[in-house]
Amino acid sequence: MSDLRGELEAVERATGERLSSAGSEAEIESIRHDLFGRSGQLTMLMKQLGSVPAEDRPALGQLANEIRGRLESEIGDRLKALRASGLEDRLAGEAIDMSAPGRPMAVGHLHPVLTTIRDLREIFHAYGFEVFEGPEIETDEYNFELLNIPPDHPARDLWDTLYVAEPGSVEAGMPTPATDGTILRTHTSPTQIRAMRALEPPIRVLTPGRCFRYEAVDASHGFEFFQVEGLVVDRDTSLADLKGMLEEVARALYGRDVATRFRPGYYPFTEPSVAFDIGCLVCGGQGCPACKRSGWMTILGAGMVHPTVLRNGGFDPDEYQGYAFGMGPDRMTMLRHGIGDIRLFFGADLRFVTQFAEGR
Amino acid sequence: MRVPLSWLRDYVDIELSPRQLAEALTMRGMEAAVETTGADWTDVVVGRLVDVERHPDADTLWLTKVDIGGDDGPIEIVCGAQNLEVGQLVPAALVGSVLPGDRRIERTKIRGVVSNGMLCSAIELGLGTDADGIHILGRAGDIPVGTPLAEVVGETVLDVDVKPNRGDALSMVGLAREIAAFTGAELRLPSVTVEESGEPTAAHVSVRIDEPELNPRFTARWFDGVVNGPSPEWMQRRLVAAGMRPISAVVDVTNYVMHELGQPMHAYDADAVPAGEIVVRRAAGAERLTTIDHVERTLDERMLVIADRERAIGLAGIMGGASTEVTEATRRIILESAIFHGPTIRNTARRLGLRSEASMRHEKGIGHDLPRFAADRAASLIAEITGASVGRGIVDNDPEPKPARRIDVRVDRLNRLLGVELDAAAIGELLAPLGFDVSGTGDEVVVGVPSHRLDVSAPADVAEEVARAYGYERIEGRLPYAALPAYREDPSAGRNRARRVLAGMGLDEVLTYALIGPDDLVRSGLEAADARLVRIYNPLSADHAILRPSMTPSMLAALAENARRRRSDAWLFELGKVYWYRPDGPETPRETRSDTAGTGRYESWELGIILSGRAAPPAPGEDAVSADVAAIQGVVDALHDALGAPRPAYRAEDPNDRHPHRHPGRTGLIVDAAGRPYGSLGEVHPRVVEAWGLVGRPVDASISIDRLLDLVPAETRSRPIPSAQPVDRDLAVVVDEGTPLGEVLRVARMSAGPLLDELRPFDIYRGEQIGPGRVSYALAFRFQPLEAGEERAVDKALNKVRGSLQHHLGAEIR
Repeated sequence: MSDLRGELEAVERATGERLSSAGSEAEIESIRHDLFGRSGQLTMLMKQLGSVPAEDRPALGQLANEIRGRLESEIGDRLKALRASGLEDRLAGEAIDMSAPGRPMAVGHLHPVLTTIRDLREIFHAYGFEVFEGPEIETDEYNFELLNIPPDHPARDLWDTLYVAEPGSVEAGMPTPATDGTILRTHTSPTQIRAMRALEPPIRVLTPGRCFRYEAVDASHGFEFFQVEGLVVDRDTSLADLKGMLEEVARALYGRDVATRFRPGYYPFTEPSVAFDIGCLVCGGQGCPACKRSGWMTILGAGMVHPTVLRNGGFDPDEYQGYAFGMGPDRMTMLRHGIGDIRLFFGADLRFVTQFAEGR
Repeated sequence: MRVPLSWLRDYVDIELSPRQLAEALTMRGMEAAVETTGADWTDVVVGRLVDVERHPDADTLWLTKVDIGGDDGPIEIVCGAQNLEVGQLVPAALVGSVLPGDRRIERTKIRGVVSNGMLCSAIELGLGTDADGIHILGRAGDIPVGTPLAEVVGETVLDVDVKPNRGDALSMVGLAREIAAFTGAELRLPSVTVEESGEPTAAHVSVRIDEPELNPRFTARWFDGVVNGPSPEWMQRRLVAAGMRPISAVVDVTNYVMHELGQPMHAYDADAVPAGEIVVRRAAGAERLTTIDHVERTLDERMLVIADRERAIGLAGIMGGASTEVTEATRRIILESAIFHGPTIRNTARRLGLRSEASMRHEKGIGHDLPRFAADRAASLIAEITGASVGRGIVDNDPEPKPARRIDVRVDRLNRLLGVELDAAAIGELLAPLGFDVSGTGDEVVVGVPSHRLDVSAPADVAEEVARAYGYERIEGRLPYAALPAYREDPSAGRNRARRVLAGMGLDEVLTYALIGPDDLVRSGLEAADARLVRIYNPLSADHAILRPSMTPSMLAALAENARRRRSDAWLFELGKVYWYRPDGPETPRETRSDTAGTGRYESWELGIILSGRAAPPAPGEDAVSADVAAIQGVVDALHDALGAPRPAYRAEDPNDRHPHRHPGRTGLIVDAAGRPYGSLGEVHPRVVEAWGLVGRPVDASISIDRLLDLVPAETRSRPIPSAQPVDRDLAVVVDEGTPLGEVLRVARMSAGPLLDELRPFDIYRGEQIGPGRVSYALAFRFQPLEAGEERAVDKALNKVRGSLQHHLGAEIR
């Protein structure tokens, strides 16, 4: 009898030694198997309990169960400890170089001129102006005549024009201007006539878009460029309203403290006409080459819509009045970002475009 | 206009500093800048040419000896100008001198000969735009040699930008009048006393005007006994400061009076005009005239000429003819001082490329009273300077003064326009100094306009004058306060959403010229002779002569621009307009969705996308994945998702009608649910890649953005969140090779019913197991039953898919 007791205790001892030297989950699993498997040591000893004299059976049975319980929990603890230290070891082996750069994610860039136009849209939207668009291929009638610029008027010199060719004439080697007076718009002003003819007063529209001029390309001129014009027609919007509006816009664009100057200008389609200046952003008004030493930079042309233009738009100038203004977002973008050459805008030089985040 | 202040001061006292004066003029609508000529000259002196010889080794160069008044005798200077004569006074920049633009003059050897300085042209001195020849200062004796040039021609000059409507201010007196009006100073007109003598002018000169509307006024004076030497130094100096070149006394007087009063004039050698008979008429077709610049010009019927009995002797208002040119030998002259029809002069000058100070002033218009006054002023100067006698009387077709133009102005209307509150008396006080005569009280006033103010003809013009006189700076800006219009959708909003989405996906936005060249089309496989192209009559260059019919050439050029800079990885897009000519009206749905001014030319917005290489570089150790057709489809799909439009389907293009710039087997149409194409995409043809100098295998897409945006539903309805788990099922669909995957997906999607949430192909297999000529597409379906227990409905839907694929495509389902 003491035989079985001795064997049970021997198994517990041996197992304790094996467990303490076991270094892996697999070893412990095999220990467990060696003990509790179908022909495991403990399983076999438990089976012998049945042949033990009845009086010894309870004590031995209790001992066997105690040993079994101890071994199971010892194995469990050992496994848990091993697993815990295994995870630590694994994580320790998985350290990476946190200073390495991330996996690049593509981020695109929006064109800075178009971003300026978007910002203008948003500013003017706050003042009730809505976008109205018109065609870029225009007629002489809309681009000039309806705007109070008759043929051979000296003011036409202000807009050197690209003429669309008469169909077939270029191919035939004898280019002639289109007989129907088709041209590329030299400003977005023809869209003002279209807006007046399409809309009911009160009219408050913004007309951004691409324009074309017969102009040699240099650092500050191009044959394609953008304009953003605004038009207001109602019954009593005055020159004083125009002035207030332009001052607000200048503050929105260039900050609350910007100096502004509202002075007479000349456009055939406005009367009175206005030129609107801000204090030079380069020299702060001291005078520098950028402002031709005047301390001012003209950012806008404007005026009260000419009675002839109102009439051409379908309004009685005795009853209706309003103002119009025009801005060059290209030049405004140059000022905003300190861009020295307008030619950078047209093209696809990614070294340029990718400099600009979508924000300000 | 260049306005020397010392000259301007003859007509008005000015207490303002030059800078204040410039600012005040600017605030009155005449933008002015102060320029001080001579401030930046050092060691530039007056020299006298004592010898001019050919350079021994260069045919176009001269070797000059210039007396600069020093003790060491004349210095040698090599010069390339062709207008040198011994005895002339010239500006000599000595060694060590500095010219405008920080240009340093050094001792140099020019073709073996040492040059000890430089003789200067007007442009080199910043005196004007004349780069053609040395700026001759006069003849020996006029000015002591060695005088610093700044003392001779140095001058404070205002550069004034006179607007096209203010022709009356294009003169010293015109500006002085304006200055007098706002400073309160007195305007001093030049004194004019003509001592007439001898025979009446009418005995020597007659004028016939064929079309009075083209020549409303013509005055002529006649002079005898002219000695036409150089004009006096003071006059030359003023002309030079104003940017003109002195020529001879008579010519200088006409230029002087033009700058003084604004009246262009011309002097004819009277002996070259038979019987003094002058005819103002239109040129005959192909009539020829050699102008004073000795260029023979061919005229046409639209041009106005001054003629004798037989032939043209001058281009009216623009330039005289060589045959009647006034020279040193001229003894008798006819002086013309006239008004010509502005548009005709402008048109002629443009046609002949001959715009002059004179034509510019005629274009802008001349008041009725000016010709006579200017003729008298010039007559007194010619008599004084050349010793000529002035014929008695003047030939003048319209001597009667014209009554002042009168404009009825409503005071309340004027106040409403300007946003001010002025009464009749205040308006009168503001306008009187400008020469306007205001009568009436209360709400109605009548404004009499001075004859030189051709720009004022309507109440709004009067309002502008009032605003100018009142001061734009004094108008109180009113904070925005507006009658607001009804809401209208921003037509550019959708395009702007698309731009942001594309940038968010890693594409960079570019901006390219709408004007492209035939080479761009040819390189892109397009037809440069297409009659539907919109061409420019007067392009700046052949590279920008056609409005692009598609974004494709622009996008290829954009890629090429970066490839040239060794940047082959570029994912680009642009939203731009494309243009074409369709005299018979739009044909395709896309053309219908376009803008036009009604000229048969149409324009519509197109989204161009081009992808080359990677959007972003790979992480270390990872493989780079270059853009391919699937990548651009992914971009296009994602754009649709982000904008809320249903995803498009893709369909191979008809081989006979495909985009020629694309790989013939890799170009497809982007179609909507009804099968209507609204764009295309694919891989760029290797030949096009080569023609543009691109690298790799770029892919591109072009999409009618308006038609895409039209697909976005007006509203998005929310769907209930299902309580059931999704059910995933896979099918292997075996079809004949050549059955497009897109077709398989379309049939599957159509028959799967509303429970289908997602359909995704995950494998494509060709091989022995399914036999030759067959392809197997493995499709993953995810169904989303609304409620638990709808699995049977899923099975039914899947069975329907099976049946449809079998029926429509002969598919075998595995």
